[in-house]
Amino acid sequence: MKKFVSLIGILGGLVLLQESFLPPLFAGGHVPNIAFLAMATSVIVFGFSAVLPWLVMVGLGMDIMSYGRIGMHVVLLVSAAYLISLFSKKFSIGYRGLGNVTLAGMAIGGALLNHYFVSDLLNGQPLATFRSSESWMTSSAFLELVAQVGLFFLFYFGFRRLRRLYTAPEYSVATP
Amino acid sequence: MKPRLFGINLSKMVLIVAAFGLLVFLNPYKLFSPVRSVGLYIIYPFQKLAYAGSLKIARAREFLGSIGRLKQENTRLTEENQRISAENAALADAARENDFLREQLRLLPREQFSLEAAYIISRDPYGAGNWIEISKGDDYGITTGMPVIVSESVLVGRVGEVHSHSAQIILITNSESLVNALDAETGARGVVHGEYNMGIALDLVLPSDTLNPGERVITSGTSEGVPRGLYLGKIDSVTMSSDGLFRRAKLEAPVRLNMLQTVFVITQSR
Repeated sequence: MKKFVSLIGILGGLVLLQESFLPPLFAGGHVPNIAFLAMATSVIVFGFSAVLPWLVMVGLGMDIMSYGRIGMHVVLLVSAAYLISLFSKKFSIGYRGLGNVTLAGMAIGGALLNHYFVSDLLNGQPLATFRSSESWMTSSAFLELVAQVGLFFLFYFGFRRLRRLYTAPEYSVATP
Repeated sequence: MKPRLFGINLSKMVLIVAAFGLLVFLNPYKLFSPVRSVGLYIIYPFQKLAYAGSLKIARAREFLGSIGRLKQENTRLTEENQRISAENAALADAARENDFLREQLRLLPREQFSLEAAYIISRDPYGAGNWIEISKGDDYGITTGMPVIVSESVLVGRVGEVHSHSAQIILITNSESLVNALDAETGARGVVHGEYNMGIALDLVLPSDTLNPGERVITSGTSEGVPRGLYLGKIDSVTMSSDGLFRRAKLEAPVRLNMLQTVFVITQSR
């Protein structure tokens, strides 16, 4: 029960950061997609099945607070998380040396795609952000990208440490 | 072993996406409105705290960034002060002229509105100029469509969705926002709408009407619930529409919407 309440608190805090805390700090709508990044990295570290309930909770929280249609963020988060989980397995096996960079690229690319795609979709103006090219040439867009990269590695190594803490170490006995 | 066509993860994903996709498609607004109200009510104090804290950090950051410009600004302000002192003598005359103009334009001074002050507690994270959320709702008599202003009757948006303790404000920069407006100097009429959630433009002005850069644009009073005379912005540049049928002007917004902390909802025009 205590674990569940803590989890709700953490996920609620994540939604609050995304909806209320970050927007005034980043100009021109270039707000880092912290909720998406946290969910994407947790899918990479913990696996899709383990994170699925979190995805639904965060998605519902975002739907409630963003005045959008209920279910919109859940659909986008769950489907994006599934794709990330699918490709992260393949990439982590195929490109061991570039594993972290590839995963970062996937999560950040997904976050940016999600941010601008969702934004335009929710506003009923497909690709409106891309039409206003001016907004992509500003320092705030660069700041958003830097923040996305920083947040990804913060979550990625944070979650990995958390997983190590809560997983019993495996010992092997050498046989002669 | 025969490979499975659908993995467990894929089945779960398809099931959830289908269920919530159906909700998005059907959009049972009346069913979810109370859920949203309760959710927003619970999170409201945290939202207020988070937004105010964030705004303080943003202002502090802006202040730190501007230290280098302060000395230059100080010199400019000293000169400005001298100029203003010289102009001060003419102010009494300007005030009389202002009263006359207000009468002419039927600009509504703030004393003529019933205002409800409210804090901004959140905003659209996907587009700065799309919508904001305020700390008051239908408990304070706020209803959908009411105009929202700041400082000296500057229109910033209209009330959208309303809950008991909060309300969504659709900003004038929102692409779906439309307000009937007129050029205060020439009387040219048109419609002010948002542009990509970033700026505002006066559109659908007849080519025979005159628009000049620097002229003020105000509400015409013909939009439902919006009184005449609310300030919208100053004309920045004038062009013809792509089909050549109308004049359109890009407006310079009088306030920075991303730094607002308090707004006033016009609940009644006296």
